[in-house]
Amino acid sequence: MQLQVKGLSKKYYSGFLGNNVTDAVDDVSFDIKEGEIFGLVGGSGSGKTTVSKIVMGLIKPTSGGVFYNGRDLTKVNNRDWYYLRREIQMIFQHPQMTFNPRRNIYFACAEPIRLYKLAKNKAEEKAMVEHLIERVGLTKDQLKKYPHELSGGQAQRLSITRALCLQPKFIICDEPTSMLDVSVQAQILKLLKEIHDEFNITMLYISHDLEVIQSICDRVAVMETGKIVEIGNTEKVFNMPQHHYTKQLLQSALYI
Amino acid sequence: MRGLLEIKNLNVSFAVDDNHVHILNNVSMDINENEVLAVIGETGCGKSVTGSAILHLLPDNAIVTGNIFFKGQDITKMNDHEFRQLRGQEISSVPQSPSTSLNPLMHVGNQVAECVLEKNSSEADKKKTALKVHEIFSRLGLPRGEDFYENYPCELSGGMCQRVLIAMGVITHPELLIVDEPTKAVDWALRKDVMDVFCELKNDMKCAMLFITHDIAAAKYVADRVAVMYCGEVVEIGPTDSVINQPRHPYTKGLIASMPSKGFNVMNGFMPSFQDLPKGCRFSDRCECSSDICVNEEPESVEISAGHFTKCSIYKNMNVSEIFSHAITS
Amino acid sequence: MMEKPVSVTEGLRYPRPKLAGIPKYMNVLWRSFNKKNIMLTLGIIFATFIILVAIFAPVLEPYDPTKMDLALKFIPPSAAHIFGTDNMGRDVLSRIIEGSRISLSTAFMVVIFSACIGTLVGMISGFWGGKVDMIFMRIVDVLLAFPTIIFALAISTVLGTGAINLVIAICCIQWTSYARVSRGEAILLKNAEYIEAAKAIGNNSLQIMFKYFLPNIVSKILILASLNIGSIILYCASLSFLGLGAQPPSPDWGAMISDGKEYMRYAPWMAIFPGLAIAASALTFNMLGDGVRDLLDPRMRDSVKTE
Repeated sequence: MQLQVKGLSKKYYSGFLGNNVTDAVDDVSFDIKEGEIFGLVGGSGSGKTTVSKIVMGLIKPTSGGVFYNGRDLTKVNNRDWYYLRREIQMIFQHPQMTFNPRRNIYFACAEPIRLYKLAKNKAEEKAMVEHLIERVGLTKDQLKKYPHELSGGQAQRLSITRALCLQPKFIICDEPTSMLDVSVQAQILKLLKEIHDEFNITMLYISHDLEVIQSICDRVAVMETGKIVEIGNTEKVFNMPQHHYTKQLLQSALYI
Repeated sequence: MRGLLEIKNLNVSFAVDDNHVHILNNVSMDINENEVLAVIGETGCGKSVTGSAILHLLPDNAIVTGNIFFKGQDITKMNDHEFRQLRGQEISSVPQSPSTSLNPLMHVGNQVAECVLEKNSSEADKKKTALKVHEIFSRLGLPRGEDFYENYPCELSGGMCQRVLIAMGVITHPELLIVDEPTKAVDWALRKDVMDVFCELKNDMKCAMLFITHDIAAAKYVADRVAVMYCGEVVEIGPTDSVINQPRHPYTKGLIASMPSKGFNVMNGFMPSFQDLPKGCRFSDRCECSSDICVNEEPESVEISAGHFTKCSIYKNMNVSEIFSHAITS
Repeated sequence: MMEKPVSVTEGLRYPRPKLAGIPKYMNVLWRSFNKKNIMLTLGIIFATFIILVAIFAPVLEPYDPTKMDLALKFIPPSAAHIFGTDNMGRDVLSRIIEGSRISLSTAFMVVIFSACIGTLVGMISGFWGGKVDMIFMRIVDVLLAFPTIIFALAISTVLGTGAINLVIAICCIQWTSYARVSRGEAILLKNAEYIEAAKAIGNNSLQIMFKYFLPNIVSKILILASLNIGSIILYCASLSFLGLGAQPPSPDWGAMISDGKEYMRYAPWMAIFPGLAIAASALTFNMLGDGVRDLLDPRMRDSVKTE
């Protein structure tokens, strides 16, 4: 069991004296085995992104814990997070927005290498970046460009490169293809699948698109308004949905 | 059935710093009355530019050639004043993003009513319009009554805003509705609802639609005919079933094969930018069955089956039986 | 369906209402000579000119700006004294040239100090939020409630007159606007997805602040600063007009106007030329500020986007 989420809750307080409570995430538990792609499906506002940010340590949960190889990520201090980030990486939804608009692509890719001092000198750093950038299907001359000059698909490949720089063991993908076109989506999904097989990376894949989830995930959890309503093997959930929300989601699929 | 809108050899280029960026290249398509034509294509293929060209909404640096006939009148030759009589009345549009296309400080009902009200209309007119708005709201599955009329856009969900925008588009009973990416901003579960609204519109209001989308499944759900665009060209156009189930152009084939439900087979390469397009066929550098002729010559449009045209050199010198056998083997 | 292609060069625009009376070449000229370029170019040229004048003031002055000769008082503008002489027989042109040093250096010092303090405070309070933000922003609110001139008068009363005290007095109020801007920017940035991504790849708070926040905030601050210089020049001039700035005999534009106002009826050049100098330099730096603002917006910099 690589990642265990146990009774995770996140409440937001609003209004005068904070008496309006919103349960963004309510008692969510699931576990992800090593080397699997775990899908998290739900409509907008179902709390799936909040779960991913809690796992990534960007938000503190109200209660519950996230155990990575037996260690509670919600209680880890900043210093240890620095080392854990090498193992847990994230790919975000809006690819163009995840890069500093003032720095070029090379800087974006080299930054994690610099932060963790993975390269001994500039030449080695350059070689590492170039190797990775070619691995994800971009060319070297794109390194000089700025984020806004890239297309969505290229930018998403780049954020995959950046995540791969640190040789992580676990990647969280937060709707990585929802802003992309169909043909580019296929390219990115194939790339993700390839790196999953090649580096044996465990993935938490978050999406609202059932077809995508169905085609790449081993197991899947369905979320509705902060709760997990159904969890199981992808085939089982999709072929024999038990909960009415899952059924409703499946019925609203449009097929070609 | 007669042609309602006919686009003939539409070329659009943009003048940018003394250069001409040629976006639309000889786009031709036509829409009959009470027919839905879906325009499918990826980001930056020029499908939205086509929509804007029909609506005279292109920016000032656009250079347009070719003709767009609406009920026999060439709308490219009209000036803004003449076209304003058509826009909103006979040709209407539903813009792309529901969350940003509504005025956040105005009741949604008033925003819809504004589309038909003249500047100094009487109280009676206003009452009549309000009734009409209520009627359209209830037809679109929005709650009827004063309460809904007086909502602000921020109080509504994405799907509801989308429907308010549709109401704005259809309240004048247009003959042609241009819908730009209706499913882009809505959630998976709402997508079907939104599409159902369009299907109903098509059946009840009998209005023709130009349905611009990148969502192939949605296009299939609602459209009678489909046009596939790539790099500013219509590469394939024909009846929905025929185009989506038996795509003939290599790009359409690739696009449909990359759907997750078809196993997401990957097409090579990226879409080229408009500044450096390949010579000859614009798809030639990514095409698997590309040959010399593709690189050197711009392909011509070939009729594959009734009403199904494709712009690919493979079919250039084939007769009907050969085309048929080619389709079987590929 | 698809016929032979039509050449684009024969292109026809949508018929649009024509702007009567403007020849076509003017239009082309206007487009190629873009508005913001003119502003920036003119701003740079004039600002460089003013700064060079200030640097080489001793060389450029035709007369000693402080030398008094009562025999030569109230000479109207003439070939020998282009801007005339004042009530003490000093050459007005020389005094204006010398005064540019004082006026500009005060203005620059005010802008630099207040920008540094303001940026730092704003960035910290925006980044940490919560109580830190609360405390800093209440201080800013209180300071913003005072009109600059009144507050500067009050400070000068405590510290006494003089150029340095003038700088301190104006800085005390001016840093607040920088703090506001940089706090706003920091709060926007805090929620940007790329900051989250930067955290995810292992940057700590300090690295995020200096690697990501500072460069992004600095451009906004530069814009504000370059727009601000003009008004700071005006503030300095008005405070020294009130007698709070540089003390006689060192020439200061504000003080010169103040001296000249008494002789306005028969020696108007004494007040008019320093006034023009103030106006010209404020205008120049405002123009420069506008140009810089257009230039520094990264999204306006390059890359032609279609669609």
